[in-house]
Amino acid sequence: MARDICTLDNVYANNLGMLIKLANVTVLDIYEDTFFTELFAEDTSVTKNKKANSKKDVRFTQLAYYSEIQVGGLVARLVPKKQNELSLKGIQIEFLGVLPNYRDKSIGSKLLKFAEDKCSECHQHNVFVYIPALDNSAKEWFIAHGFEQHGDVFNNFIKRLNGDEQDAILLKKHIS
Amino acid sequence: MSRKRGTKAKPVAKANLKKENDQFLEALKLYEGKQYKKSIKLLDAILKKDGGHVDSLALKGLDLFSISEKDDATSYVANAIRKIEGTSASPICCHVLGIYMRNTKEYTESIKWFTAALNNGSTNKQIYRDLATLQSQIGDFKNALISRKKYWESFLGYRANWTSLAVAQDINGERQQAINTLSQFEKLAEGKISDSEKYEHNECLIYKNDVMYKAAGDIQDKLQNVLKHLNDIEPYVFDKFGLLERKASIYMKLGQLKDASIVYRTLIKRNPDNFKYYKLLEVSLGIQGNDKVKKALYAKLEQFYPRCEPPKFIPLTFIQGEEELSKKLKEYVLPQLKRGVPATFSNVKSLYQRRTSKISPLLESIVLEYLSGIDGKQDPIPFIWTNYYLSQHYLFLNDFPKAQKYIDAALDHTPTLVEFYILKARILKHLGLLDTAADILEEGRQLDLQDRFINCKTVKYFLRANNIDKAVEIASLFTKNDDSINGIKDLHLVEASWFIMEQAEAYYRLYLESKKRLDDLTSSKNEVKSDESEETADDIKDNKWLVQKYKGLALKRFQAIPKFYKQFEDDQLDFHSYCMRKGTPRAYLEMLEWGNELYTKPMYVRAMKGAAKLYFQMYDDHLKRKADVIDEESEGSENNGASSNSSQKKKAKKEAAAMNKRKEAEAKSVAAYPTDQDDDVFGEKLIETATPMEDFANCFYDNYSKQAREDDRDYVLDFEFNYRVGKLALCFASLNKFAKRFGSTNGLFGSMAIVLLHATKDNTRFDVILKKVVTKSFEKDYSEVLPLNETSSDSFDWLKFYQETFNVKDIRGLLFLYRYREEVALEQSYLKEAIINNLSLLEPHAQNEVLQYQL
Repeated sequence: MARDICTLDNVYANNLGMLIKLANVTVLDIYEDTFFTELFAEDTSVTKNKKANSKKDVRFTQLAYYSEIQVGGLVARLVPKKQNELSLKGIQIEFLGVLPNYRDKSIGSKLLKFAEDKCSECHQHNVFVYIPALDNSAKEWFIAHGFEQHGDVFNNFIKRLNGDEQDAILLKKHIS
Repeated sequence: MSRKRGTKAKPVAKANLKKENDQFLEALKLYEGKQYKKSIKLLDAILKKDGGHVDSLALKGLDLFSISEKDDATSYVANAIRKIEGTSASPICCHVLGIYMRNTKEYTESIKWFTAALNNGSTNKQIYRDLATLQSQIGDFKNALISRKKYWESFLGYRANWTSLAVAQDINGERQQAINTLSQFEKLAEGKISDSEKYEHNECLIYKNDVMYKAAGDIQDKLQNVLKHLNDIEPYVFDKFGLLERKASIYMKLGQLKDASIVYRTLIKRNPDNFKYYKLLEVSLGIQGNDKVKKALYAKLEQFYPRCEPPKFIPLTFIQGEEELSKKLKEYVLPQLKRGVPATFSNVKSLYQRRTSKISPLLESIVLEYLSGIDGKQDPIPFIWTNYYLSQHYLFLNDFPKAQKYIDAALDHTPTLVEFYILKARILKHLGLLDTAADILEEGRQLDLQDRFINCKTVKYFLRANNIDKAVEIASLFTKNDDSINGIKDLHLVEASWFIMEQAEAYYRLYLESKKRLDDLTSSKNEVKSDESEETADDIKDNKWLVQKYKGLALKRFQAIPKFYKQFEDDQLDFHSYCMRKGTPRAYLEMLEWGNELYTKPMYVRAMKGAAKLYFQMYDDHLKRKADVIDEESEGSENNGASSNSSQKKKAKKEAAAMNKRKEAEAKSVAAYPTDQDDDVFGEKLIETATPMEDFANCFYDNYSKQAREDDRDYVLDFEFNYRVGKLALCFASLNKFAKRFGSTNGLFGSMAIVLLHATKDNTRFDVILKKVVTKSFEKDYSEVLPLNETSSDSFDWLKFYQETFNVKDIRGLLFLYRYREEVALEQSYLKEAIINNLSLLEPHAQNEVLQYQL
């Protein structure tokens, strides 16, 4: 069988830099480096980065490869409990990005599928994501992949590294 | 057993003597059983009674060496040797001393004692084998043959001994005897070769053919014989490639080209990726000059081997017609770009190098056209690799802005590919932006921390940017850092010469920089001359230490390289017997050849040249110091007067203590060897030497000089070395050879000639007779090229003469003159100007290097 030109693989401590690079290129000014370095802060073992025993959040990370080149990444968090009225429980996508030149190749769909699979594995029923209210292309993309808007606009929800604040909307997809 | 005694042994009763002897033999047995401590105990008992018992002294030395108390061992052995007249000791004693010397790698001495053991009546035939090994190691093959023969006579039952004998005969040019030896054994062994011995047998058979082939020369009958032998042994030989290659070359020598071509075709069939066979096929077909036939041939071969490189590639090296060449290049390059082959440019680089003017414009237009037809989004893979290709293309043509443009396009498109960072850094390096280049690589390295290649590259670039701490930190990620804070020790242990070399050069550059700063500081201090300048005084002290540290460490690292090469040389020792036992004479001979040019390998030469700069400078400083020794003395007394004040003394003491503390802390991060093996971490002793030229000769130059072939010697280095040791005649010889190879309008020739001419003046330090010899030689060979009569006149403008006569475009000549400006009394500023005027011919990186470190 011919190998798929697009594949997914885990993130390890050694190629974390790739994920950081991808995040900084595809989504500007949002992520602090510590967000990523914390993923491997506790132990740098190259097994799964699931930290079931620790009190910390459980996160799932993946890198997408196109022809052996890293072109996309995913960070998703398991939210087992509702944090407040308006929020949801389930799998929250914190970062999902593909290099602009490699879009429309179903790479993002693959990453999303990975998150959805994890959702069922963890016996959750929601995959959700906060995106800037003004980002139409992102919205379209998620809606095309079966997401729906949940609730109203969250004012000044997204805080950028340069201090700006942005409104956000919450999108969710129900996984049965 | 009759044994001679050392002269100092007192006459003792016979019974006592016998007891002593028994005890000694007992100790010897213990030594052989590796029970060194027990052995020493017994020997101590003997020595207590008879302190002059030479045998015991020697054996105790050997015992001590074995439990690695090397200093004590040395003194015992020295004591034993002092008591022996010449070599007249007991054979056992001589043997023991021989083994000791072999362990301490004093091979010549070891041979002396082994020989003495035999001469003094030892019946131990094993000594001959050890002797042969040692003689081979020091390259004394004539005597090695004798030893091999003796050993062979005593132990005819081993194939290894026959093989060794044959090899020794072969090396000594006794080819026929070697063939006979091998044949004799073949007869003895006929029909008795077991399966496990078949490989050894096959090697010996083909080795015999080697010897026959060498012996045959161009004589037709003999070659026929070799061919016949080759056909006979064919079923038993495993190395089919070697066999076929030999067969083909015999056919070629015999003029049976048709047969040769058939063999080459067979070889191509076996391995269609070996370029060599295609070239030889051309030769055997006699079509080297005939492009038309060649084209047809390769078209045919391409059909046979569609997946192989050579038939596609070789036509690109000779096709002349532009249209056709362009078509072929397209067929070769575009499919690779389409597939996204990263090495596409590397694949055609040899074409660029050989046919720049023809190939590069063609490929440029082909690839540009291709790039314009693809879209980054639709075909991302071809797009990025084509940009990558073009960047390399323009880098090759030294068009840096364009190279940058294309690599930036690739990086913008796909910022996750490490290769792009490497290329970008390379371009920046050529532009002389070393710090930025290192930072770019660091950015790339962060993407993939487990990639050893980019790790090494980043380290190298940081070293180039003189950022040693960062480089060491990164390098240490991949080293074993058990008992040290960084990987320096491990890098020495694993003989990572690339790192040590780059670090040495970085230290050297830092040394030059800090020296410049120190000079500036001291000169400005002299101007101020006030007591307020305490801060500058501290600064100066600080800088003095830096200068010394960098200089010492640079030399220390340069010195580490020849240590590796010495180790390589020593490593051969085991193979003189191992290869014979394993029956691999061909590999053995290859190793000997390698050993014969070991000290001319690029890394060694590079270290030598790096060290030469330091040693030559040290020597020149010595000379200068001698010249103005009086000035310094007066200065010294002044200093003493000033510091006699007790509070100042205290302060000095405090400072010294602080300094020592600082040194101790720093030592941990620069130590190259385990503490017990290195008492000169900073190389301070190395740079304090009173005999720099001797040190240089011992550590670097002698080995090189012995092995360097006449046709690739570095005559300039020879010249500079011999100039300093005062051997002007040899300087002239180097100059002469240089002129023969590079012509007498070469800039370096001009510079060397001018320096040498000035050395012949009356008031120089050189030997009068040598000066005369050189003057005469100049008159004989170069009276037309050089203004010999002007040597004694002070008004002659040598720089003008140089610029009018020699090729000034080669900056090396002017830089050479610059180094010797004081000897030839040239005005520094004019010379500097001349150099700077010619700098623009160099690329930016090289310009910086000259400006920063050579002027």
